[in-house]
Amino acid sequence: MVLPNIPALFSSFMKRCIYKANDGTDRISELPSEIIVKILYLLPTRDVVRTSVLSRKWRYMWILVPRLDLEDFYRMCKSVGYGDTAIFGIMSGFVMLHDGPIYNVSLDIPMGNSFRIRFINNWLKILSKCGLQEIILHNSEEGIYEVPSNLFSLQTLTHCMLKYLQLSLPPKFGGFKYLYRLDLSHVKVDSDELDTLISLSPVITIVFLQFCYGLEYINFSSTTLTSLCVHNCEDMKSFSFQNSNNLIDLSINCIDPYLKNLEKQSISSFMKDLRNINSILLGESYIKLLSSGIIPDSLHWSIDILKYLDLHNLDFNESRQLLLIICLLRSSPNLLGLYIKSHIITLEPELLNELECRSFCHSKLKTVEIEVETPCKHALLLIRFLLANSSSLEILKLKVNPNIRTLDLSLMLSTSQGLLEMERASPRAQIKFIYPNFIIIKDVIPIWLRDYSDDPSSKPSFLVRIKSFICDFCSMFYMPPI
Amino acid sequence: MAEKASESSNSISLNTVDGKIFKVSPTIANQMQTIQSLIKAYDSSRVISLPHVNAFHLSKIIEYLEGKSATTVSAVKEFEAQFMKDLSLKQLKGLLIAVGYLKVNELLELMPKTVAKLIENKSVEFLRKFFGIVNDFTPSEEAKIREEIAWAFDGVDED
Repeated sequence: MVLPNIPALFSSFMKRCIYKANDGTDRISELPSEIIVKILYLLPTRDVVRTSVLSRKWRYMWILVPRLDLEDFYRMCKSVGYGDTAIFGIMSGFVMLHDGPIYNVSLDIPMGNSFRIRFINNWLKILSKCGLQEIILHNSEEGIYEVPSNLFSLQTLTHCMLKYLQLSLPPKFGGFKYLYRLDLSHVKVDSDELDTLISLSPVITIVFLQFCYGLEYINFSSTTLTSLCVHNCEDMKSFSFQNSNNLIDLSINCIDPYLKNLEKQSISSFMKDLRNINSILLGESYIKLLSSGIIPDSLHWSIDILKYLDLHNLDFNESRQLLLIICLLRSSPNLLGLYIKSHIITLEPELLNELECRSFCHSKLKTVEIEVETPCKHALLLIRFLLANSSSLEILKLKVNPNIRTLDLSLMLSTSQGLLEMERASPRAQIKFIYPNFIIIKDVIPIWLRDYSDDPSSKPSFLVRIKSFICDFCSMFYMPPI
Repeated sequence: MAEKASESSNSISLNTVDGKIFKVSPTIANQMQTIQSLIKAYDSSRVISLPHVNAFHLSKIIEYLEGKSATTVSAVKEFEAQFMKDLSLKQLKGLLIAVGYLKVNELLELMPKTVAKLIENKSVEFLRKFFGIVNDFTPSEEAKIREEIAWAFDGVDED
């Protein structure tokens, strides 16, 4: 293999490597090499390489470490003034000098031109014979470049993570026999190609996609795939789980502007292939999408296996979104946990009438956690519904994160009273109302100080505000003001 | 009580290099792979002598193996953290050698983590002292290697 421009420093390295300075001159250190390698395995590459200065015995200890973590390497060398040629030369040295297996490699380098790609391909060729299991390839150059083609020759790969690259399969790609987990982030990939890759990976279990381009539809053909996470893939048009119906965990989310491409889908058609699903996370836009279709009272079948339902940025202003939750709750009799987080500011929404609660009893639900900006009426309505219908509820947490400036203590107090008065189907249900407490004084005063410092004349009003704030707090806890 | 009695009847005696005899239960002994294979080789009534392990290290290993049988995950974590905190640098290294010799797998996982945290971003001099390494390079040889890997020396902690 011809590698251009390996700096002289590494050719000397390689010559000496043949002797493998293992002559035991290090008399006092009795730590066996296996243990030293175990320790070095846990250190950043810089620290590992630095040990070559310690003594003759340690000179080439680092090449035994089965891991090459070069995430920061390029950036670091650049910052101390090395040029591309030198850096790639040193990196080649790492790969070629290595003795024994290499299980993990992580690279974060620019992959923009053919010079660099040639290097990377050569390394991958060597690594393909080292039993490589995990690879992280991160292109740090602006733009999206083709994945180095030798990646596909890594037959022992179990975990592959790509960033800022374009993934296209070689014509005769035979699949990754051991690939267990695939992570793609900011990767350009065609739906068909990705499906081929997944279907040719017989043990693939986890697929994690975020900010991928060119991915128009998802319907992976894999019976082993159990965990799928799709976040912010802007070109997505449709998704189906027909060919991957063994999914256990699903997490699906995208930011609002990407929603426009997505085909409308009703909750029934979304859920129909998820017969083995154990936990679902739905993000803001998918909640919106699914709640815009037909929402039946409950699905025609029950999702017996569903245990955890996680909703991110549910919009409490929208009553349809509440109905969607109710529909899912009714259809999943074995649900254990419901988690709702919302950072959407709630206006006082059009009020739903009481949520229908006849013919519904959630006998398994144990944990409910709801996090909102302010305790709006719809959120409390949902809580009332959950408390009245969940006979084995153990804990319900309501956490509010109000904006410090608009913190309304009387609202907190009335919410807390309201929660206490709600009817509970489960006598042992514990209700936790979490709101910013005293710690906030520490955070709030600097902000007020900043607000008021611009205007010295407002100093008295600042003091009044602090005083009233403390009095409010004391009254909440029935303490005499200090 | 009965269980304890039966345990002590087939307990295994270990003789350390400084002449102390420890009696341990088979469950504890079997977690040290080296001893496990020795038990298989000899009959269990014999005292097994351990030429590379002193009493302090063995007592620490036994303390660990007994202590980590705590019930909850968090309790074990707490115990492990305290166990590691109580060791001085010198003890840590000695214990690591003993653990390596006796092949106590759990400690072989745990201890390198502790050591790695201790030596991360430390100077060459610190490492030499820590591992007890005699520098057998000539000054010019060392300078040359340092120059070759100059990038690795940027921003290293002072001792």
